[in-house]
Amino acid sequence: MSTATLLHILSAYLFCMGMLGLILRRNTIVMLMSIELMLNAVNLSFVTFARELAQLNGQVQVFFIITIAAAESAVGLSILINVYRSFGSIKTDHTTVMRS
Amino acid sequence: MSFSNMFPMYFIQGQQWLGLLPLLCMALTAIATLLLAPLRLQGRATAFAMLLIGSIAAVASTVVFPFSETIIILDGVLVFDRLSQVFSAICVLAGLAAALMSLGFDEREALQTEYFSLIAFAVVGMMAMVSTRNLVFFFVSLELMSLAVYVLVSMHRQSSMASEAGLKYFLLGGAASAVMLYGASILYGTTGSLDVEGIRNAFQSQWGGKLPILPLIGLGLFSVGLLFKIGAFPFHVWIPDVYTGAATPVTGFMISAVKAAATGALLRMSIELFALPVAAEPFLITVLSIIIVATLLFGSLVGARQTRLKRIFAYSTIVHTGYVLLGFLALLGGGAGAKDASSAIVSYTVFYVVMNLGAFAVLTLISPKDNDDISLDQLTGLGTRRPLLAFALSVFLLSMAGIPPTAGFFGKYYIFSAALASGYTWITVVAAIASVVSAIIYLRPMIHMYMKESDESYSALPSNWLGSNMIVGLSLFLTVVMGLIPAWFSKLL
Repeated sequence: MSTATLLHILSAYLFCMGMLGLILRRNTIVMLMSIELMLNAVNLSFVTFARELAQLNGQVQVFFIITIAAAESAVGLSILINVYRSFGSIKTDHTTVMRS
Repeated sequence: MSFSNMFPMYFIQGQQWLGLLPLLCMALTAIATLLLAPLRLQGRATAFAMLLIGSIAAVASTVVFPFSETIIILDGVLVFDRLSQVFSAICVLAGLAAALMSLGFDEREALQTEYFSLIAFAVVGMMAMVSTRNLVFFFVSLELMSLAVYVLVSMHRQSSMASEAGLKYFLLGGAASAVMLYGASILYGTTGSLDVEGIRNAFQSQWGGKLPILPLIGLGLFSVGLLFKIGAFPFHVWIPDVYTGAATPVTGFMISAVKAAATGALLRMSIELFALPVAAEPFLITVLSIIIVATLLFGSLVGARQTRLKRIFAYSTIVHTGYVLLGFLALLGGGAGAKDASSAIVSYTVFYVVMNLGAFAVLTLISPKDNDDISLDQLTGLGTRRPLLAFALSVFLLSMAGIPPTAGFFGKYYIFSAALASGYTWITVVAAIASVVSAIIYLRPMIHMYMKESDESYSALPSNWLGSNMIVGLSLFLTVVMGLIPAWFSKLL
Protein backbone atom coordinates (compact mmCIF):
# COMPACT_ATOMS: atom_id res chain seq x y z
CA MET A 1 0.00 0.00 0.00
CA SER A 2 1.37 3.41 -0.87
CA THR A 3 2.16 6.02 1.74
CA ALA A 4 -0.62 8.27 0.46
CA THR A 5 -3.25 5.57 0.93
CA LEU A 6 -2.01 4.88 4.45
CA LEU A 7 -2.15 8.60 5.25
CA HIS A 8 -5.71 8.82 3.91
CA ILE A 9 -6.73 5.91 6.10
CA LEU A 10 -5.01 7.56 9.08
CA SER A 11 -6.80 10.88 8.48
CA ALA A 12 -10.18 9.17 8.09
CA TYR A 13 -9.48 7.20 11.29
CA LEU A 14 -8.53 10.35 13.22
CA PHE A 15 -11.63 12.10 11.91
CA CYS A 16 -13.89 9.26 13.01
CA MET A 17 -12.18 9.15 16.43
CA GLY A 18 -12.85 12.87 16.82
CA MET A 19 -16.49 12.36 15.86
CA LEU A 20 -16.85 9.43 18.26
CA GLY A 21 -15.19 11.38 21.05
CA LEU A 22 -17.63 14.22 20.50
CA ILE A 23 -20.58 11.84 20.65
CA LEU A 24 -19.46 9.59 23.50
CA ARG A 25 -17.53 11.75 25.96
CA ARG A 26 -19.31 13.89 28.56
CA ASN A 27 -16.42 16.17 29.48
CA THR A 28 -16.60 19.34 27.41
CA ILE A 29 -12.82 19.85 27.40
CA VAL A 30 -12.46 16.43 25.78
CA MET A 31 -15.22 17.34 23.33
CA LEU A 32 -13.31 20.51 22.45
CA MET A 33 -10.19 18.41 21.89
CA SER A 34 -12.24 16.10 19.67
CA ILE A 35 -13.21 19.02 17.43
CA GLU A 36 -9.53 19.99 17.20
CA LEU A 37 -8.70 16.38 16.32
CA MET A 38 -11.25 16.45 13.51
CA LEU A 39 -9.77 19.67 12.12
CA ASN A 40 -6.26 18.21 12.28
CA ALA A 41 -7.45 15.08 10.48
CA VAL A 42 -8.70 17.39 7.73
CA ASN A 43 -5.29 19.10 7.68
CA LEU A 44 -3.58 15.75 7.18
CA SER A 45 -5.97 14.87 4.40
CA PHE A 46 -5.38 18.24 2.67
CA VAL A 47 -1.61 17.81 2.81
CA THR A 48 -1.79 14.24 1.51
CA PHE A 49 -4.04 15.21 -1.38
CA ALA A 50 -1.80 18.17 -2.21
CA ARG A 51 1.23 15.87 -2.26
CA GLU A 52 -0.58 13.38 -4.51
CA LEU A 53 -1.66 16.14 -6.90
CA ALA A 54 1.78 17.83 -6.71
CA GLN A 55 0.13 21.19 -5.92
CA LEU A 56 1.13 23.84 -3.38
CA ASN A 57 -2.44 25.09 -3.25
CA GLY A 58 -3.72 22.40 -0.91
CA GLN A 59 -0.80 22.68 1.50
CA VAL A 60 -1.25 26.43 1.95
CA GLN A 61 -4.88 25.91 3.05
CA VAL A 62 -3.58 24.13 6.15
CA PHE A 63 -2.37 27.45 7.56
CA PHE A 64 -5.85 28.91 7.29
CA ILE A 65 -7.34 25.88 9.00
CA ILE A 66 -4.76 25.98 11.84
CA THR A 67 -5.55 29.66 12.42
CA ILE A 68 -9.28 29.01 12.51
CA ALA A 69 -8.76 26.05 14.85
CA ALA A 70 -6.79 28.27 17.24
CA ALA A 71 -9.49 30.94 17.20
CA GLU A 72 -12.12 28.29 17.71
CA SER A 73 -10.42 26.80 20.75
CA ALA A 74 -9.99 30.30 22.25
CA VAL A 75 -13.70 30.98 21.88
CA GLY A 76 -14.53 27.47 23.05
CA LEU A 77 -12.49 27.77 26.24
CA SER A 78 -14.07 31.12 27.08
CA ILE A 79 -17.50 29.58 26.59
CA LEU A 80 -16.42 26.77 28.93
CA ILE A 81 -15.39 29.28 31.60
CA ASN A 82 -18.79 30.91 31.22
CA VAL A 83 -20.48 27.51 31.59
CA TYR A 84 -18.39 26.67 34.66
CA ARG A 85 -19.43 29.96 36.29
CA SER A 86 -23.13 29.22 35.72
CA PHE A 87 -23.20 25.51 36.57
CA GLY A 88 -20.09 24.80 38.64
CA SER A 89 -19.24 21.93 36.31
CA ILE A 90 -18.23 21.33 32.72
CA LYS A 91 -19.69 17.85 32.41
CA THR A 92 -22.54 17.87 29.91
CA ASP A 93 -24.71 15.86 32.33
CA HIS A 94 -24.77 18.84 34.69
CA THR A 95 -25.22 21.66 32.22
CA THR A 96 -28.86 21.37 31.28
CA VAL A 97 -31.61 23.67 32.40
CA MET A 98 -33.59 23.48 29.16
CA ARG A 99 -35.84 20.61 28.28
CA SER A 100 -34.96 19.38 24.77
CA MET B 1 10.09 26.80 -9.90
CA SER B 2 10.97 30.40 -9.13
CA PHE B 3 9.58 32.39 -6.25
CA SER B 4 7.40 34.64 -8.42
CA ASN B 5 5.90 31.58 -10.11
CA MET B 6 5.05 30.01 -6.80
CA PHE B 7 3.72 33.17 -5.21
CA PRO B 8 2.51 35.50 -7.96
CA MET B 9 1.93 39.07 -6.77
CA TYR B 10 -1.65 40.15 -7.04
CA PHE B 11 -2.99 43.70 -7.03
CA ILE B 12 -6.59 44.75 -6.72
CA GLN B 13 -7.43 47.31 -9.35
CA GLY B 14 -10.14 49.57 -10.82
CA GLN B 15 -13.52 47.94 -10.88
CA GLN B 16 -12.47 45.34 -8.30
CA TRP B 17 -12.22 48.01 -5.58
CA LEU B 18 -15.82 48.91 -6.38
CA GLY B 19 -17.00 45.38 -5.74
CA LEU B 20 -14.88 45.10 -2.60
CA LEU B 21 -16.13 48.41 -1.16
CA PRO B 22 -19.11 47.13 0.92
CA LEU B 23 -17.03 44.34 2.43
CA LEU B 24 -14.20 46.76 3.21
CA CYS B 25 -16.64 49.24 4.81
CA MET B 26 -18.04 46.54 7.06
CA ALA B 27 -14.62 45.07 7.95
CA LEU B 28 -13.25 48.50 8.93
CA THR B 29 -16.44 49.14 10.91
CA ALA B 30 -15.98 45.89 12.80
CA ILE B 31 -12.41 46.78 13.78
CA ALA B 32 -13.26 50.39 14.64
CA THR B 33 -16.22 49.29 16.74
CA LEU B 34 -14.05 46.83 18.64
CA LEU B 35 -11.49 49.58 19.36
CA LEU B 36 -14.10 52.13 20.41
CA ALA B 37 -16.23 49.84 22.56
CA PRO B 38 -14.03 49.95 25.71
CA LEU B 39 -14.16 53.78 25.91
CA ARG B 40 -15.17 54.49 29.48
CA LEU B 41 -17.68 57.19 28.69
CA GLN B 42 -20.28 56.53 26.05
CA GLY B 43 -18.53 53.41 24.71
CA ARG B 44 -21.86 51.83 23.94
CA ALA B 45 -23.23 54.84 22.08
CA THR B 46 -20.00 55.33 20.11
CA ALA B 47 -19.88 51.66 19.13
CA PHE B 48 -23.47 51.74 18.01
CA ALA B 49 -22.93 54.96 16.03
CA MET B 50 -19.92 53.39 14.28
CA LEU B 51 -21.97 50.32 13.37
CA LEU B 52 -24.80 52.51 12.10
CA ILE B 53 -22.48 54.60 9.91
CA GLY B 54 -20.59 51.57 8.60
CA SER B 55 -23.73 49.61 7.75
CA ILE B 56 -25.30 52.56 5.96
CA ALA B 57 -22.04 53.14 4.05
CA ALA B 58 -21.88 49.45 3.09
CA VAL B 59 -25.46 49.36 1.81
CA ALA B 60 -25.10 52.76 0.12
CA SER B 61 -21.97 51.63 -1.71
CA THR B 62 -23.85 48.71 -3.25
CA VAL B 63 -26.72 50.98 -4.28
CA VAL B 64 -24.66 53.96 -5.49
CA PHE B 65 -22.09 51.98 -7.49
CA PRO B 66 -24.03 49.24 -9.24
CA PHE B 67 -21.96 47.14 -11.64
CA SER B 68 -23.31 45.03 -14.42
CA GLU B 69 -20.69 42.33 -14.96
CA THR B 70 -19.43 39.89 -12.36
CA ILE B 71 -16.29 41.04 -10.52
CA ILE B 72 -13.86 38.23 -9.74
CA ILE B 73 -10.96 38.72 -7.33
CA LEU B 74 -8.10 36.19 -6.91
CA ASP B 75 -9.60 33.62 -9.30
CA GLY B 76 -12.87 33.32 -7.45
CA VAL B 77 -11.83 33.72 -3.82
CA LEU B 78 -14.19 36.69 -3.90
CA VAL B 79 -16.95 37.01 -6.47
CA PHE B 80 -19.24 40.01 -6.57
CA ASP B 81 -22.39 39.61 -8.60
CA ARG B 82 -26.08 40.32 -8.19
CA LEU B 83 -26.58 37.38 -5.80
CA SER B 84 -23.79 38.42 -3.43
CA GLN B 85 -24.96 42.06 -3.51
CA VAL B 86 -28.56 41.21 -2.65
CA PHE B 87 -27.67 38.82 0.17
CA SER B 88 -24.94 41.12 1.54
CA ALA B 89 -27.46 43.96 1.71
CA ILE B 90 -29.98 41.71 3.50
CA CYS B 91 -27.36 40.62 6.05
CA VAL B 92 -26.06 44.15 6.70
CA LEU B 93 -29.56 45.53 7.18
CA ALA B 94 -30.59 42.61 9.41
CA GLY B 95 -27.46 43.15 11.51
CA LEU B 96 -28.27 46.84 11.82
CA ALA B 97 -31.85 46.01 12.81
CA ALA B 98 -30.59 43.59 15.47
CA ALA B 99 -28.30 46.33 16.84
CA LEU B 100 -31.19 48.79 16.88
CA MET B 101 -33.52 46.44 18.72
CA SER B 102 -30.91 45.77 21.38
CA LEU B 103 -30.60 49.47 22.29
CA GLY B 104 -31.92 49.72 25.84
CA PHE B 105 -32.19 45.94 26.16
CA ASP B 106 -28.39 45.60 26.30
CA GLU B 107 -28.14 48.14 29.11
CA ARG B 108 -30.94 46.55 31.13
CA GLU B 109 -29.46 43.05 30.79
CA ALA B 110 -25.84 44.30 31.17
CA LEU B 111 -24.59 42.93 27.86
CA GLN B 112 -20.96 43.85 27.14
CA THR B 113 -20.29 46.76 24.79
CA GLU B 114 -18.42 44.42 22.42
CA TYR B 115 -21.89 43.26 21.39
CA PHE B 116 -21.96 45.70 18.46
CA SER B 117 -18.53 44.78 17.14
CA LEU B 118 -19.44 41.08 17.31
CA ILE B 119 -22.50 41.82 15.19
CA ALA B 120 -20.27 43.67 12.73
CA PHE B 121 -17.77 40.77 12.56
CA ALA B 122 -20.58 38.27 12.02
CA VAL B 123 -21.93 40.43 9.20
CA VAL B 124 -18.47 40.58 7.57
CA GLY B 125 -18.38 36.78 7.71
CA MET B 126 -21.81 36.55 6.12
CA MET B 127 -20.91 38.97 3.32
CA ALA B 128 -17.77 36.98 2.54
CA MET B 129 -19.70 33.72 2.76
CA VAL B 130 -22.25 34.67 0.10
CA SER B 131 -19.55 36.02 -2.24
CA THR B 132 -16.97 33.28 -2.53
CA ARG B 133 -16.35 30.34 -4.84
CA ASN B 134 -13.38 28.97 -2.92
CA LEU B 135 -14.23 26.13 -0.55
CA VAL B 136 -11.58 26.93 2.07
CA PHE B 137 -12.36 30.64 2.02
CA PHE B 138 -15.98 29.64 2.40
CA PHE B 139 -15.02 27.73 5.56
CA VAL B 140 -13.01 30.70 6.86
CA SER B 141 -15.90 33.12 6.37
CA LEU B 142 -18.40 30.65 7.81
CA GLU B 143 -16.22 30.38 10.91
CA LEU B 144 -15.82 34.16 11.13
CA MET B 145 -19.59 34.37 11.26
CA SER B 146 -20.07 31.40 13.58
CA LEU B 147 -17.39 32.33 16.13
CA ALA B 148 -18.92 35.79 16.53
CA VAL B 149 -22.40 34.29 16.90
CA TYR B 150 -21.23 31.67 19.46
CA VAL B 151 -20.00 34.52 21.65
CA LEU B 152 -23.17 36.55 21.06
CA VAL B 153 -25.30 33.60 22.16
CA SER B 154 -23.44 33.01 25.42
CA MET B 155 -22.98 36.70 26.17
CA HIS B 156 -26.03 36.95 28.41
CA ARG B 157 -23.88 36.25 31.46
CA GLN B 158 -26.46 36.22 34.23
CA SER B 159 -28.46 33.56 32.48
CA SER B 160 -27.43 29.93 32.77
CA MET B 161 -29.68 29.19 29.80
CA ALA B 162 -27.50 31.39 27.63
CA SER B 163 -24.31 29.55 28.62
CA GLU B 164 -25.95 26.22 27.95
CA ALA B 165 -27.19 27.44 24.57
CA GLY B 166 -23.73 28.80 23.71
CA LEU B 167 -22.06 25.51 24.64
CA LYS B 168 -24.51 23.42 22.60
CA TYR B 169 -24.24 25.70 19.59
CA PHE B 170 -20.45 25.77 19.79
CA LEU B 171 -19.96 22.00 20.04
CA LEU B 172 -22.49 21.11 17.33
CA GLY B 173 -21.43 23.99 15.08
CA GLY B 174 -17.74 23.11 15.42
CA ALA B 175 -18.46 19.49 14.51
CA ALA B 176 -20.61 20.53 11.53
CA SER B 177 -17.95 22.83 10.12
CA ALA B 178 -15.24 20.18 10.60
CA VAL B 179 -17.40 17.71 8.65
CA MET B 180 -17.94 20.33 5.97
CA LEU B 181 -14.20 20.93 5.72
CA TYR B 182 -13.51 17.21 5.36
CA GLY B 183 -15.96 17.22 2.47
CA ALA B 184 -14.10 20.15 0.92
CA SER B 185 -10.84 18.23 1.32
CA ILE B 186 -12.25 15.15 -0.46
CA LEU B 187 -13.62 17.34 -3.26
CA TYR B 188 -10.18 18.93 -3.60
CA GLY B 189 -8.45 15.56 -3.65
CA THR B 190 -10.72 14.07 -6.31
CA THR B 191 -10.86 17.09 -8.61
CA GLY B 192 -7.58 18.90 -7.92
CA SER B 193 -9.27 22.24 -7.41
CA LEU B 194 -10.63 24.22 -4.47
CA ASP B 195 -12.55 26.55 -6.73
CA VAL B 196 -16.19 25.71 -7.34
CA GLU B 197 -15.85 26.41 -11.04
CA GLY B 198 -12.77 24.17 -11.31
CA ILE B 199 -14.55 21.40 -9.42
CA ARG B 200 -17.54 21.61 -11.74
CA ASN B 201 -15.30 21.49 -14.82
CA ALA B 202 -13.54 18.45 -13.40
CA PHE B 203 -16.91 16.77 -12.75
CA GLN B 204 -17.82 17.40 -16.36
CA SER B 205 -14.51 16.41 -17.96
CA GLN B 206 -13.61 13.43 -15.75
CA TRP B 207 -16.95 11.75 -15.25
CA GLY B 208 -19.38 13.62 -17.53
CA GLY B 209 -21.44 14.70 -14.52
CA LYS B 210 -22.19 11.19 -13.22
CA LEU B 211 -20.02 11.02 -10.12
CA PRO B 212 -18.37 7.98 -8.53
CA ILE B 213 -18.74 7.38 -4.81
CA LEU B 214 -15.81 9.40 -3.41
CA PRO B 215 -16.72 12.85 -4.80
CA LEU B 216 -20.35 12.12 -3.91
CA ILE B 217 -19.28 11.56 -0.29
CA GLY B 218 -17.34 14.83 -0.49
CA LEU B 219 -20.41 16.68 -1.76
CA GLY B 220 -22.56 15.10 0.93
CA LEU B 221 -20.20 16.02 3.75
CA PHE B 222 -19.83 19.54 2.38
CA SER B 223 -23.58 20.07 2.29
CA VAL B 224 -23.85 18.97 5.95
CA GLY B 225 -22.32 22.27 7.09
CA LEU B 226 -24.78 24.25 4.99
CA LEU B 227 -27.78 22.20 6.07
CA PHE B 228 -26.69 22.62 9.71
CA LYS B 229 -26.64 26.41 9.48
CA ILE B 230 -29.95 26.52 7.64
CA GLY B 231 -31.50 24.08 10.15
CA ALA B 232 -32.77 21.25 7.94
CA PHE B 233 -34.16 18.05 9.44
CA PRO B 234 -31.39 15.79 10.74
CA PHE B 235 -29.33 18.84 11.72
CA HIS B 236 -32.06 20.93 13.34
CA VAL B 237 -31.65 19.68 16.93
CA TRP B 238 -29.75 22.75 18.09
CA ILE B 239 -32.32 25.29 16.87
CA PRO B 240 -34.97 25.20 19.65
CA ASP B 241 -32.49 25.22 22.55
CA VAL B 242 -30.11 27.80 21.11
CA TYR B 243 -32.87 30.15 20.01
CA THR B 244 -34.49 29.92 23.46
CA GLY B 245 -31.28 30.42 25.41
CA ALA B 246 -29.87 33.41 23.54
CA ALA B 247 -30.92 36.96 24.44
CA THR B 248 -33.96 38.04 22.40
CA PRO B 249 -32.18 40.50 20.02
CA VAL B 250 -29.46 37.89 19.41
CA THR B 251 -32.11 35.31 18.53
CA GLY B 252 -33.62 37.89 16.17
CA PHE B 253 -30.19 38.32 14.58
CA MET B 254 -29.67 34.57 14.19
CA ILE B 255 -33.13 33.87 12.87
CA SER B 256 -32.83 36.59 10.23
CA ALA B 257 -29.23 37.34 9.25
CA VAL B 258 -27.56 33.95 9.86
CA LYS B 259 -30.43 32.17 8.14
CA ALA B 260 -30.34 34.58 5.18
CA ALA B 261 -26.57 34.19 4.80
CA ALA B 262 -26.84 30.40 4.89
CA THR B 263 -29.62 30.52 2.30
CA GLY B 264 -27.55 32.79 0.07
CA ALA B 265 -24.50 30.54 0.34
CA LEU B 266 -26.61 27.45 -0.34
CA LEU B 267 -28.11 29.21 -3.37
CA ARG B 268 -24.68 30.00 -4.81
CA MET B 269 -23.39 26.48 -4.14
CA SER B 270 -26.56 24.94 -5.60
CA ILE B 271 -26.31 26.90 -8.82
CA GLU B 272 -22.56 26.53 -9.26
CA LEU B 273 -21.71 23.20 -7.62
CA PHE B 274 -24.65 20.93 -6.77
CA ALA B 275 -26.76 21.41 -9.93
CA LEU B 276 -24.61 19.26 -12.23
CA PRO B 277 -24.24 16.09 -10.09
CA VAL B 278 -27.83 16.25 -8.83
CA ALA B 279 -29.16 16.44 -12.40
CA ALA B 280 -27.28 13.21 -13.21
CA GLU B 281 -28.25 11.35 -10.04
CA PRO B 282 -32.02 11.04 -9.34
CA PHE B 283 -31.18 9.41 -6.01
CA LEU B 284 -30.05 12.79 -4.62
CA ILE B 285 -33.42 14.34 -5.47
CA THR B 286 -35.08 11.62 -3.38
CA VAL B 287 -32.77 12.39 -0.44
CA LEU B 288 -33.58 16.10 -0.67
CA SER B 289 -37.32 15.33 -0.86
CA ILE B 290 -37.11 13.19 2.27
CA ILE B 291 -35.23 15.97 4.08
CA ILE B 292 -37.89 18.51 3.06
CA VAL B 293 -40.85 16.36 4.12
CA ALA B 294 -39.20 15.50 7.46
CA THR B 295 -38.32 19.16 8.12
CA LEU B 296 -41.84 20.37 7.35
CA LEU B 297 -43.63 17.68 9.34
CA PHE B 298 -41.29 17.86 12.35
CA GLY B 299 -41.42 21.67 12.55
CA SER B 300 -45.17 22.01 12.21
CA LEU B 301 -46.18 19.07 14.41
CA VAL B 302 -43.79 19.71 17.31
CA GLY B 303 -44.15 23.48 17.02
CA ALA B 304 -47.90 23.31 17.57
CA ARG B 305 -47.38 21.98 21.11
CA GLN B 306 -44.93 24.62 22.39
CA THR B 307 -45.91 27.12 25.04
CA ARG B 308 -42.91 29.46 25.06
CA LEU B 309 -42.76 32.16 22.40
CA LYS B 310 -39.10 31.84 21.44
CA ARG B 311 -39.49 28.09 21.09
CA ILE B 312 -42.57 28.68 18.94
CA PHE B 313 -40.54 30.91 16.64
CA ALA B 314 -37.72 28.35 16.62
CA TYR B 315 -40.04 25.63 15.32
CA SER B 316 -41.62 28.12 12.93
CA THR B 317 -38.17 28.77 11.46
CA ILE B 318 -37.70 25.02 10.92
CA VAL B 319 -40.96 24.97 8.92
CA HIS B 320 -39.75 27.97 6.90
CA THR B 321 -36.51 26.12 6.17
CA GLY B 322 -38.65 23.36 4.70
CA TYR B 323 -40.32 25.83 2.31
CA VAL B 324 -36.97 27.34 1.26
CA LEU B 325 -35.58 23.85 0.61
CA LEU B 326 -38.63 23.17 -1.57
CA GLY B 327 -37.43 26.10 -3.68
CA PHE B 328 -33.98 24.47 -3.83
CA LEU B 329 -35.62 21.21 -4.93
CA ALA B 330 -37.27 23.06 -7.83
CA LEU B 331 -33.93 24.70 -8.64
CA LEU B 332 -31.89 21.49 -8.59
CA GLY B 333 -34.56 19.33 -10.20
CA GLY B 334 -33.97 21.29 -13.39
CA GLY B 335 -37.60 21.30 -14.55
CA ALA B 336 -39.53 24.24 -15.98
CA GLY B 337 -39.59 25.95 -12.57
CA ALA B 338 -35.80 26.02 -12.16
CA LYS B 339 -35.59 29.49 -13.71
CA ASP B 340 -38.08 31.05 -11.29
CA ALA B 341 -36.87 29.07 -8.30
CA SER B 342 -33.82 31.19 -7.46
CA SER B 343 -35.79 34.45 -7.58
CA ALA B 344 -38.53 32.78 -5.51
CA ILE B 345 -35.91 31.81 -2.91
CA VAL B 346 -34.56 35.38 -2.80
CA SER B 347 -37.98 36.99 -2.39
CA TYR B 348 -38.95 34.41 0.24
CA THR B 349 -35.76 35.18 2.18
CA VAL B 350 -36.47 38.93 2.09
CA PHE B 351 -40.05 38.47 3.31
CA TYR B 352 -38.95 35.99 5.96
CA VAL B 353 -36.20 38.27 7.31
CA VAL B 354 -38.50 41.28 7.59
CA MET B 355 -41.33 39.51 9.40
CA ASN B 356 -39.02 37.71 11.81
CA LEU B 357 -37.13 40.90 12.68
CA GLY B 358 -40.47 42.59 13.34
CA ALA B 359 -41.68 39.75 15.55
CA PHE B 360 -38.46 39.69 17.58
CA ALA B 361 -38.53 43.48 18.01
CA VAL B 362 -41.99 43.02 19.56
CA LEU B 363 -40.63 40.23 21.78
CA THR B 364 -37.80 42.52 22.93
CA LEU B 365 -40.33 45.16 23.94
CA ILE B 366 -42.54 42.80 25.97
CA SER B 367 -39.74 40.74 27.56
CA PRO B 368 -39.62 40.90 31.36
CA LYS B 369 -36.33 41.62 33.10
CA ASP B 370 -33.75 38.84 33.62
CA ASN B 371 -35.93 36.22 31.96
CA ASP B 372 -36.69 36.98 28.34
CA ASP B 373 -38.21 33.56 27.71
CA ILE B 374 -41.82 34.70 27.36
CA SER B 375 -44.60 32.16 27.73
CA LEU B 376 -47.98 32.26 26.02
CA ASP B 377 -49.65 33.04 29.36
CA GLN B 378 -47.62 36.22 29.62
CA LEU B 379 -49.15 37.32 26.31
CA THR B 380 -52.72 37.28 27.63
CA GLY B 381 -54.44 40.62 27.37
CA LEU B 382 -51.66 42.18 25.31
CA GLY B 383 -54.42 43.31 22.93
CA THR B 384 -55.76 45.66 25.61
CA ARG B 385 -52.48 46.50 27.36
CA ARG B 386 -50.38 47.36 24.30
CA PRO B 387 -52.85 47.42 21.38
CA LEU B 388 -50.37 48.68 18.79
CA LEU B 389 -47.73 46.06 19.62
CA ALA B 390 -50.38 43.34 19.64
CA PHE B 391 -51.60 44.48 16.24
CA ALA B 392 -48.04 44.49 14.83
CA LEU B 393 -47.30 41.03 16.24
CA SER B 394 -50.56 39.74 14.74
CA VAL B 395 -49.61 41.05 11.30
CA PHE B 396 -46.20 39.36 11.51
CA LEU B 397 -47.77 36.09 12.69
CA LEU B 398 -50.37 36.17 9.91
CA SER B 399 -47.61 36.88 7.41
CA MET B 400 -45.58 33.92 8.70
CA ALA B 401 -48.67 31.72 8.46
CA GLY B 402 -49.09 32.90 4.88
CA ILE B 403 -52.55 34.46 5.04
CA PRO B 404 -53.25 36.01 1.59
CA PRO B 405 -52.86 39.81 1.66
CA THR B 406 -49.53 39.65 3.54
CA ALA B 407 -45.98 39.24 2.24
CA GLY B 408 -45.59 35.70 3.57
CA PHE B 409 -48.36 34.44 1.31
CA PHE B 410 -46.61 35.66 -1.84
CA GLY B 411 -43.28 34.22 -0.72
CA LYS B 412 -44.89 30.80 -0.32
CA TYR B 413 -46.88 31.24 -3.54
CA TYR B 414 -43.72 31.83 -5.62
CA ILE B 415 -41.95 28.84 -4.07
CA PHE B 416 -44.93 26.52 -4.52
CA SER B 417 -45.53 27.58 -8.11
CA ALA B 418 -41.85 27.04 -8.97
CA ALA B 419 -42.00 23.56 -7.42
CA LEU B 420 -45.24 22.76 -9.28
CA ALA B 421 -43.76 23.97 -12.56
CA SER B 422 -40.82 21.62 -12.02
CA GLY B 423 -43.27 18.75 -11.54
CA TYR B 424 -42.95 18.04 -7.80
CA THR B 425 -46.69 17.84 -7.20
CA TRP B 426 -46.94 15.49 -4.24
CA ILE B 427 -44.22 17.22 -2.23
CA THR B 428 -45.89 20.59 -2.84
CA VAL B 429 -49.11 19.07 -1.54
CA VAL B 430 -47.24 17.97 1.60
CA ALA B 431 -45.89 21.52 1.99
CA ALA B 432 -49.39 22.96 1.61
CA ILE B 433 -50.69 20.56 4.28
CA ALA B 434 -47.77 21.52 6.54
CA SER B 435 -48.62 25.19 6.07
CA VAL B 436 -52.20 24.52 7.18
CA VAL B 437 -50.99 22.56 10.22
CA SER B 438 -48.39 25.19 11.07
CA ALA B 439 -51.10 27.86 11.06
CA ILE B 440 -51.89 26.50 14.55
CA ILE B 441 -48.41 27.61 15.65
CA TYR B 442 -49.19 31.19 14.67
CA LEU B 443 -52.84 31.34 15.72
CA ARG B 444 -52.24 30.26 19.32
CA PRO B 445 -50.34 33.44 20.33
CA MET B 446 -53.09 35.52 18.70
CA ILE B 447 -55.80 33.71 20.67
CA HIS B 448 -53.85 34.42 23.84
CA MET B 449 -53.42 38.10 22.95
CA TYR B 450 -57.03 38.85 22.09
CA MET B 451 -59.38 36.19 23.42
CA LYS B 452 -58.13 35.40 26.91
CA GLU B 453 -58.75 37.48 30.02
CA SER B 454 -55.80 39.60 31.07
CA ASP B 455 -53.92 38.29 34.08
CA GLU B 456 -53.01 41.28 36.24
CA SER B 457 -49.73 39.83 37.50
CA TYR B 458 -48.12 40.12 34.07
CA SER B 459 -49.41 43.58 33.27
CA ALA B 460 -46.29 45.45 34.43
CA LEU B 461 -44.17 45.21 31.30
CA PRO B 462 -42.40 48.52 31.15
CA SER B 463 -40.00 48.68 28.21
CA ASN B 464 -40.60 51.25 25.50
CA TRP B 465 -37.34 51.57 23.63
CA LEU B 466 -37.03 53.76 20.57
CA GLY B 467 -34.88 51.36 18.53
CA SER B 468 -37.20 48.39 18.88
CA ASN B 469 -40.23 50.56 18.22
CA MET B 470 -38.58 51.80 15.01
CA ILE B 471 -37.93 48.22 13.87
CA VAL B 472 -41.51 47.21 14.65
CA GLY B 473 -42.88 50.17 12.68
CA LEU B 474 -40.51 49.67 9.76
CA SER B 475 -41.16 45.93 9.55
CA LEU B 476 -44.90 46.49 9.75
CA PHE B 477 -44.70 49.04 6.93
CA LEU B 478 -42.49 46.76 4.83
CA THR B 479 -44.70 43.70 5.41
CA VAL B 480 -47.70 45.63 4.13
CA VAL B 481 -45.76 47.12 1.18
CA MET B 482 -44.34 43.72 0.26
CA GLY B 483 -47.85 42.32 0.29
CA LEU B 484 -48.93 45.06 -2.14
CA ILE B 485 -46.01 44.86 -4.61
CA PRO B 486 -44.53 41.35 -4.18
CA ALA B 487 -43.54 41.22 -7.88
CA TRP B 488 -40.86 43.87 -7.38
CA PHE B 489 -39.12 41.74 -4.74
CA SER B 490 -39.19 38.65 -6.94
CA LYS B 491 -37.13 40.57 -9.51
CA LEU B 492 -34.31 41.35 -7.08
CA LEU B 493 -31.97 38.73 -8.49
